[in-house]
Amino acid sequence: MKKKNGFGFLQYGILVTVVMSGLLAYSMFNGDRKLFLPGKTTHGHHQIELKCDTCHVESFKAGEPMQEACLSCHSESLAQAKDTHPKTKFTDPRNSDLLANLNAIECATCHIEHSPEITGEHGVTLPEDFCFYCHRDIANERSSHDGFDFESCGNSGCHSYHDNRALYEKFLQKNIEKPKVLNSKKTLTVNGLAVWKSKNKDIKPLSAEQHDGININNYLPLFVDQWQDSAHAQTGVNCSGCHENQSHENQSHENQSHENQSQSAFNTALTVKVCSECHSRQTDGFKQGLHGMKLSLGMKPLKVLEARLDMKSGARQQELNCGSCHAPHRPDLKLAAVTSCQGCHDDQHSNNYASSKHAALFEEELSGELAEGEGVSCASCHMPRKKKGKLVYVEHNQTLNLKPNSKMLRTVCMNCHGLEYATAALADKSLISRNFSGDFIEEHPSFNMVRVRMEERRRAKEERRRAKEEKRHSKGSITDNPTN
Amino acid sequence: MINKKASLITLSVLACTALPVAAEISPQKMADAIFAVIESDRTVYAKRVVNRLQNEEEVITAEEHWEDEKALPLPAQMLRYGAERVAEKDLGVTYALLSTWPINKQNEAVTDIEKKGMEFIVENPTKRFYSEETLNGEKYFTAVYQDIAVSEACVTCHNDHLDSPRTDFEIGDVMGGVVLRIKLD
Repeated sequence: MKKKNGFGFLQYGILVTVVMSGLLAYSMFNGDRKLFLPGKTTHGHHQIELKCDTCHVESFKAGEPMQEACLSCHSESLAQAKDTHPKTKFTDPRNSDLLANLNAIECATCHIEHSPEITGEHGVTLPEDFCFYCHRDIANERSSHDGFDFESCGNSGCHSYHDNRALYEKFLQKNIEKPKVLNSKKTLTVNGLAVWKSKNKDIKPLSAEQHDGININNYLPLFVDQWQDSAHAQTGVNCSGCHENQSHENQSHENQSHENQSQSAFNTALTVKVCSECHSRQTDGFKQGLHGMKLSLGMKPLKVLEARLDMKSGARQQELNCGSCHAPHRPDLKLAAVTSCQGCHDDQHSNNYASSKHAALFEEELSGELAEGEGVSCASCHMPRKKKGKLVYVEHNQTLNLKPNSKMLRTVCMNCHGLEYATAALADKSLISRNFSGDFIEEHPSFNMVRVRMEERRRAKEERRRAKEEKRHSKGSITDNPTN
Repeated sequence: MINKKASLITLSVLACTALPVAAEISPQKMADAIFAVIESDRTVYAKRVVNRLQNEEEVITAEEHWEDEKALPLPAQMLRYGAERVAEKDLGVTYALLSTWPINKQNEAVTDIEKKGMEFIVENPTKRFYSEETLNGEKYFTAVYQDIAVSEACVTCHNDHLDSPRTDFEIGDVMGGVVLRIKLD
C-alpha cells in the first residue's frame, strides 16, 4: 500500500479555490470584470456592460428592482414616443388575464440582457410573434389582417410595440396622397446664434486683437485666425472662456475616468464638460445617445475601437467627445454634418452616401446653389433639427431617432417626402444599405389598407345619409297624409 | 384598500382643530364619491371648455389625435388620462370607461362582473350596479355607472366611426359605463 505524501485531493482543491477566488477578486476590484459577464450584451448596452451596478442596483439578489434602473435611462424616451403599451394598461385588474400571458409591466420580460442566442431586433428576446399573446383575434376586428403572420406585425411601416406616432391609421390617412418629393423640401434651419443675439444685444463681438489666449499651452496664431470668424468670437466668448475651465477641480473628475488623456492643453473628455456650460441641450443629448452614454455614467469616453458597427481602422483610437466632430476653434456645422461621421463609420450605408442623391443635394447646398436646409447630410437624418419655441437646435441624441426606423418618418423623412414613399423606402433594407440609391417598390401595403378603409367609410357615410333622408321622407309622407 | 370583513374602512381624518377624528365609510359610498368627482370633472371640461371653445366660440376643435391636430383632448380621453394617473399611484383604486358598443374592442366588458354590470346599467338607466369580484387572486369591490351621451359631438363621432358597432346613438342614451374598482384586503 502506497503512503500518501501529504498533498492530496483536499489540498489541491483548496489551492485551486484560492487561485480562482484570487482571479475573480482581481477581476472584480482591479480588472475589467469581464469574467463576470454571463453572456454577450445587446447593442444598446454593450458600452456600459462592465458598469454592472447601472442595472443591477441591488447586487443580483432575487427580485431586485431592476425595472427602476431601466426607467432611469429610458422613461423619457418612452414618454416622448407616446408609448402605446404603457405599464398602466397592464396594471388595471381587468387586464390581469393579459398579464398572465405576458408580464408586460417589466422591461425585462421582453428585453433579457446577456442572452445573445435569443436576442432579436431592438433587443427583443421574445419570439417575433409575441403580439399573438394579446392580439390573436385581430383578424376578427380587421378582416384586412386575415392570414397575416404574427411575425410580420413589427415590419417597418406596420406597427411598433412602443412608438406608433407615424403608424396610426388617421395619420396615414391624412398623409396618404402626398407626392414622392414635396415642393417645400427643406429641413429646419438652426437658429441658436440668432436667438442668442436677440437676447444678448449688449454683448459685442470680439476681434482678433482682443483674444486672451497668448499664455495658453500649445498656442498657435492659427487658432486665433480661426476663432475670429467663429460664433464664439461673435458671442463674446474669448479663449479663456473655454481654456480657463481646465482648473484642477474640473480635471480631477475627468482624471478618475479618463486615464489616457492626451497631453494637449485641452484634453478630450474635458471638452464635453466645458461645452456643456453654454451648449447643455446638445451635450445632454450627446450623453444620452450611443456616442456619449459612457460619459453620463462617469466612465471613460467611448473609443471607436469599442464600437460593434464597422468602423475605419485608422479611427480606432479616436475618442468620442464634442471635439471629435466639431473643430473646436472653428465650429463648422457642415464639417460636423458629414466629414466627421465618415471619418469613423465604415458600413455600406455610410460608404454609399457619397454617391447618393442626398449627398449631391448637400454639395449643391454647400456651393450655394440650394438654400440652407435643402441638402441632406448624415446629420440631417441622424441628428435632426428640433424646434422648441422659437429655437431650432440639433438633437444630439441620435438614438432617439434610430430604431425602429419608423421613428425617422416624422422627424426627418417627411420634411421632404410623402409619407407612403418614405415608409416604403424605410421598409427596404437593401435600399437603406445603398443609401437610397436605385429603384425600389414605392408603395407600402399599409397605405392600400387605409385606402380600402377610406372607401368603406365613404360608403357607410353615404348609406347613413340615404337612410336619414328616407326616414325624413317617410315621416313627411305620414304627416302630409290627412287620413293618418 | 378596504377591509372586506368589516365592509367598512376607518379613516383617520384631521379635523379643523387638528384633532384626529375617526370616521367610517363603506366601499360603495367611497366608490360613489370617487365617481362623483370623475363625472363632475368631465362634465365641467365637456361643457365649459370643449363645448364653449369648439361649438360656441369656434376657436379650437376637440380631436382624438389632439397633439397632431393642435386641438383639445376629447372629454372621454380626459377621463382615461385621469384613470392612468390614478393607476400610476397604485392606491388600489382603478377605473375605466367601457361600452357594450366600443369603437376600440379593448374597451368592451371583459370580466363576468363587467358584462353583468354593463347589461344592468343599459337595462336600468337610472340605477347603479355594485358587486364584488376576484381577479388574479385579488378581491375587488366593483361599481358600474352609466356614461350618458351629453353632447352632439359624442353621438356624431360614435355614429360616424367605421369601427363603431352601433350607429344610432342619440343624446341622452347610455353609451357605455364607468367601471370603478376598489381593492379589498
